[in-house]
Amino acid sequence: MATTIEQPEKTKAEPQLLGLLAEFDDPHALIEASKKVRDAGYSKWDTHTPFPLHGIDEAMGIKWTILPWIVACCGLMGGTIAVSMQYWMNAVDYPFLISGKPLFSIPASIPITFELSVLLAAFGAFLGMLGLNQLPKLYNPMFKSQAFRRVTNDRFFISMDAKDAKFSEIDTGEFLNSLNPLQVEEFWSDVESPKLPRPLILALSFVGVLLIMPPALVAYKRSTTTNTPRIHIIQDMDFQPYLKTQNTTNIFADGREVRPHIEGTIPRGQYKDDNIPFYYGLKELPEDQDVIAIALQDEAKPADGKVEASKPADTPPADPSAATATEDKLADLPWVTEFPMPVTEKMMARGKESYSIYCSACHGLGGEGDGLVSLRAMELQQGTWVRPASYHTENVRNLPVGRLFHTISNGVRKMPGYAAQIPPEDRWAIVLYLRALQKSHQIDAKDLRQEEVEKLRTTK
Amino acid sequence: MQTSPHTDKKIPVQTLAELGSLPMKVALGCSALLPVSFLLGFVFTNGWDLFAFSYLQSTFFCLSISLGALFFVMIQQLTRAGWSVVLRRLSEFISLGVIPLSVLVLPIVLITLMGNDTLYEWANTETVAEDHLLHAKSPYLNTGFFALRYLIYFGSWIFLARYFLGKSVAQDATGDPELTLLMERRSGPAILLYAFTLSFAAIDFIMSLNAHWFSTIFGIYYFAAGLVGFFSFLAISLVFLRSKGLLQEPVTVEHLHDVGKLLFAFNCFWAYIAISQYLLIWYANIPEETVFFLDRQSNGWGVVSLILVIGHFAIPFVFFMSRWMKRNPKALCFWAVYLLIMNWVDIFWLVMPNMASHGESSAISFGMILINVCCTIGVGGIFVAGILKFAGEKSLMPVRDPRLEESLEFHNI
Repeated sequence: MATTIEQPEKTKAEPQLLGLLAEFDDPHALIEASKKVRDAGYSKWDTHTPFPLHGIDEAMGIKWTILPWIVACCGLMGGTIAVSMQYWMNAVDYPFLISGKPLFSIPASIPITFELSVLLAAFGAFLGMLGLNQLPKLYNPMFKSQAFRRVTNDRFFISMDAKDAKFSEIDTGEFLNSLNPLQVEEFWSDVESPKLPRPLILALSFVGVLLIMPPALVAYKRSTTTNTPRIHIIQDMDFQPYLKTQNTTNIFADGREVRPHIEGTIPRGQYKDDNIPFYYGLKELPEDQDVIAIALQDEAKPADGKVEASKPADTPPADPSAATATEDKLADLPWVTEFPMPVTEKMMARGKESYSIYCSACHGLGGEGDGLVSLRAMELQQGTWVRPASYHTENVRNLPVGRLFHTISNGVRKMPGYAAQIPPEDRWAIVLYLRALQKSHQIDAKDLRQEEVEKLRTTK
Repeated sequence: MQTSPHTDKKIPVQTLAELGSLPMKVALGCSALLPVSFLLGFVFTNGWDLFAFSYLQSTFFCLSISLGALFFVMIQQLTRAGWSVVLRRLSEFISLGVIPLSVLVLPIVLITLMGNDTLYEWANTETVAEDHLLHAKSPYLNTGFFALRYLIYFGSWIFLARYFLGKSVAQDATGDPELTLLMERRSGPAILLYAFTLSFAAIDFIMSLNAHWFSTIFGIYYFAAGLVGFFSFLAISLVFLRSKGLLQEPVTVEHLHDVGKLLFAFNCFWAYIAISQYLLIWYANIPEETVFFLDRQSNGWGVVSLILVIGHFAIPFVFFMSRWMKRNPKALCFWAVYLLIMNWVDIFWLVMPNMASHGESSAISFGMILINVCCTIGVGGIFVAGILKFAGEKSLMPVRDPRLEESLEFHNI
C-alpha cells in the first residue's frame, strides 16, 4: 500500500474542543444530574449508559418521539401500495380469471396488503429509529477518552456539546463539577486524517468482490449462449407425471390418454349449432356433415405441418384425384359470403395481431407465401414441403369468407387446422385482415382518400 | 430462588370482600333476568328454541372470559412473567368462573343426553339414521360421548383453575418460592391440556350446532374471542376496583397500559383468525363450507357480520394505537366495555344463526336480541356472583410472590 502523503494543512490544524464529559458511577446520580442539566437550559448534550435507564427520557427533557407517526405513515403507504399494485396487476395489466372470482376482490387482497403494511411499517420503525438517533455513527471523538471505555460496563456519562449556545469551557466545566461527578474531562477533535486500518480495507475489498460475483455471473450467463442443457433444479416440477395428449396409458381400458366426450354431452362452450355461420362459416349445415372435416383426413394430414417439413420424405404424396374430389365437394357447400358479426376497427387490429402470430410465419407478413419458415424450407430443399398459398391469386381472392374461415379452422393440404388454438372470433378477425391484405395488393388509386395518398407518397 | 427481603414490608392484604355486599346483591339481582328471559321465550314465536340458543350463547360468552383468564394465568407462570404478578390473583379469580358455568352448562348436556335435538340435530337418532354425513360422524357426535367430553372439559378446567389459585394462595401464607417453580413446571403440560379441551369444547358445543359444517380453525377462533373478552373484563375490573380503592397502589397506569396492549394484540389476533377462516372458505368456494357464511349473510345477519368486521376490528384498531388511550383508565375502560360488547356480538353471531326454523336459518329479530340480552345478564349475574363467592376473603394480590417486587416496580419504557 502506498504511503499516505502527509498534508501540511492537516498537521498544522489546531485540535478543536468538542465538548466535556462528566463521569458518574451510579444511574441515580446520572438521572439527578441530568435533571439539573435540563433545568440549566442546555440543549445539545447527551447521556451515555451501559443499559436502558427508566426515567432518563423524562430527566433529560426529551420530547416524545415522532417515530410512531413515521411507522403509521409507512404502514399506510405499504397498504396503499399493496392494494393499488394488486388492482393494477390483477384487474388492469393482466386480467386473469381464477376460478370465477372477480378480477379484483378485497378478501384475496388482504394477505398481501397485510404483509406489505407490516413490512413497510417495520422498515419505517427500524430505519426511522436509526435515522432519528443519527445512527450508524462509526466514530465518535469521545471514544478516545480512556474513562469513556467503561460506558459499556459500569459507568454513566453526560456529554456536553461545545456547539451548544450556552457552552463555555470554564462555566460549563464548573457547572459539571457542581453535579458531583467522579471526574470531568474534555474531548477534542482529531488532527490526523482518520485512516481505515489495512486489514479492514482488505476485508471490505474481499467482501466487495464476493458481492459483485453473483450479478456478474448472471450478466455473463444472460449475454452468452450455451450448448449444455439447462440444469433441472426442481425435478418434480420439470418432470410432472401428468398425462399428455397423443400418448397411451394403462389407466383406461381403451389405452387413450385423451378422453373422448361422454356420449350425449356437449362440453361447456362447445355448443355450436345455435350460430352455424359463426362457428362453421356455412349458411346451414349440409346433410352430409362429414364433408366438412373429411377433406383433411383424406389427405393424411400430418399432425403438425411445420415439424413435418424437417422430416425425411417418407410419407406418400397425397392422391391428387381424391384431393380434387374433396375440393369440389367443399366448393359446393353454402359458404357465407358476409361476416357473421359486425366488422369493426378493433376486429381488424385483432386480426392483424393474430395473423402476425399464427399465419405470418409461413404465409409471410404480406400474405405472399414467403414466410420465414417457408423460405427456410425452400432453402433446405425439403421434399415434402408444400409452399403455402399466396392470397393474391385469383383463386383465393374469389373464395367466400366462410371458406377462408373453414380453411383456418380445419387446415388444408399441409396446413394444420387452427381451431384448437384460435377462438372463432379471432379466426374471423384473421379472415377480415386477410381480406384487407388482398385489397392492399389490388386497389384502385381512385378509392384512396387524400390523406392516405399523401401518406403513401411520404412513406419511404 | 430467594424471597425478596422487602416482600414482607407494608403490603396491605386486600380482598374482594372489602367491596361490601353490594356487588354480590347486584350480581344476584341480575341473575333474576335469567327466568325473565325464559318466560320471554313464551311471548315470541319459536320462543323455546330462542331461549335454548340464547342460553348456550350466554354461557359460552361467560365461559370464554373464564377460559381466557385461565390461559392468562398459565402463560404468565410459563413465561416467568414478572410485570403481571399484581394482576394474576384477579385473573385466577375470574378463571374460577368455570365452576358456576359447569353447573349452568349441565342442562344443555342433559337435554341433549335425553335426545332433545333443539340445539344439536345429531342428538336425534332418527335424523342421524337418515343423514349419511351425520351417520358417518356419529362415532364422535353422539350423546353419550358428548356428555363424557363435557365431564372431561369442565373437570380439567375446574382442576386447573383451582390448582393454580390454590398454589398461589398457599404461597400467600408461606411465601415459599418453590411453589412458583412448581407452577412454572406444571403450566407447560397444563397449557397443552387446556389447548385440547378448549378446541374440542368449541367444536362440540358451538361448531356442531351445524354438524354438516366444519372448520379446523374453529377452536382457535373461540380462544381468540375469549381472550378479547377476558382482557376487556380484566381492564374493566381493574378500573372498577381501583375506583373503589382496591389495588389502587399496586396496579399502576403501567399495568393498565400493558393490559390495553394485550387487548389490542388479541383483538388483532381475533381478526387474523377470523380472516384466515373466511379467506380459505371464500377461496375454495365449496358449498359444504360456504354455507357457514351464507347463513351469516342472509336474513339480516349480513349487518351483524359487517358490524363485526368494522366494529370489532377496524374501529378499535385505530383507537387502540393510541398510547394515551391505553394509559388513561377512563378511556381504556370505555374501550374495554366496547370490546366486551363486541365479543358478545361475536358469540351471538357464532351461535344464533344456527337456529333453524322451517329448514332455513332464522332471521335476526328484536325478540332474539331481547331474550339474548336478558339471558346474558342473567347468566352473567350468576357468573360474577360465583367469582365473588369463590374469591371470598382471599387476598386480591399474591402478596408473597417472589416476583411481586418486580411487578410493583414495573415501568414501560
